[in-house]
Amino acid sequence: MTEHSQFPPMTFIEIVNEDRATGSVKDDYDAISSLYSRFYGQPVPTPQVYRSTSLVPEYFHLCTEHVDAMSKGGTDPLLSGSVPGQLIAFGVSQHSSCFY
Amino acid sequence: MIYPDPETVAAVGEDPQSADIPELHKAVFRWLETFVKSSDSTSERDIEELRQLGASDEEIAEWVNIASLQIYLVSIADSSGVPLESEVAETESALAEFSSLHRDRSYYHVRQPDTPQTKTTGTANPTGGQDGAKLQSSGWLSAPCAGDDYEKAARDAEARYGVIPNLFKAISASGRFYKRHQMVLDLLEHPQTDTLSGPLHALVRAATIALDRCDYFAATADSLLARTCDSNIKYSQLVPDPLATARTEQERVVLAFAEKLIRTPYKITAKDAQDFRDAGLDDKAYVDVFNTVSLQCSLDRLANATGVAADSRPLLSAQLAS
Repeated sequence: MTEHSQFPPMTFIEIVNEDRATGSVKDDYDAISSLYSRFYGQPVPTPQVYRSTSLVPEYFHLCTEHVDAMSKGGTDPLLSGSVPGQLIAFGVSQHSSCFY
Repeated sequence: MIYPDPETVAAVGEDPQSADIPELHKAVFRWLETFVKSSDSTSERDIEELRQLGASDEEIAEWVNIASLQIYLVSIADSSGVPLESEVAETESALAEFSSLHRDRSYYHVRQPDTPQTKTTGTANPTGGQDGAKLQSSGWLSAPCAGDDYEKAARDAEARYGVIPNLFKAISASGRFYKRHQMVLDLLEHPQTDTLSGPLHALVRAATIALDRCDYFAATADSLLARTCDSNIKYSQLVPDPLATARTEQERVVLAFAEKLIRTPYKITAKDAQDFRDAGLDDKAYVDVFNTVSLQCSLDRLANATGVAADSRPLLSAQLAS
């Protein structure tokens, strides 16, 4: 598989990756990657899950707000508190049996 | 890392109720299981259990918001079949060690429930929750309805709908999610592509609300159907079996997919996307549908899990409502 393939393995639908992204989709790729990079303290590309909406810019843009809200602008790794946010996210994934 | 050793992490991944973790964490996992599998059967008793174990209402509001956002991510991941981060060469770094169950856990859904908190997917309960607790305009959590984030969200929403949504009041202890929730409500008012028709979008949104047994959005569903569809379908007709209302092949394919995404998302395969193409719908329509279902699901579960009573008006912007 290459990053530039239109249909990566397992993906059921067309994905618009960075190389084909234009306009708001390109801006949102930059924004999501930037938030995650701040989150991890190193360059991180946009996670695969958000790419699934890249065919429809309005939904892809929502993903930027989603990441921003979840991570408090990329500043909070959700690892603190009596029940860390990451544990909530993990619990939802586990009970959904989400492979990703 | 949340847990100090790999053994505990593995045990939680296998069965959190048997793992050596705090009782509060076990209670949260039980609550999340109900949230994911049958959010309409959550009750104030679930909230009270978390409080008894030391959780504040502000924390619970934060958790229910995060769970709502995560159910959206889980749904779009299952719908699209995206590869694991560890499978993508360019992301073999920070993301590769983050998240991912990395294995099939579908057995989890067919085994016998093993905790007393696990409830069966149930009947709609208009009085709210399986124990019949009354729904409240501000929900089961303490709702300060104050702060800059809340006040801005309330003002904007009132301008749109003529009413401050009770859902916004219910989660006012945790204010940073309003912008996202408002964007979701806006996106859900109509399809975002030209390949999914308005009536089909309205039908699948209403069907999602029906399948989630989310009476909070019932009036919105009815209003959207009345304004968008030329048929006389009502929300109440969709509640028992939305698929039974399908009149065309496209409606059948879309409603069958919605039900699968809500009930058994882990069973979605490439064939589901192909079924759309075979019915004359393209990939954009598929993305539009799985986002509509996933976003509505995230709000439905938020409303069901906070015990919020219906609003006095449907949550549709004035332009659409007129």
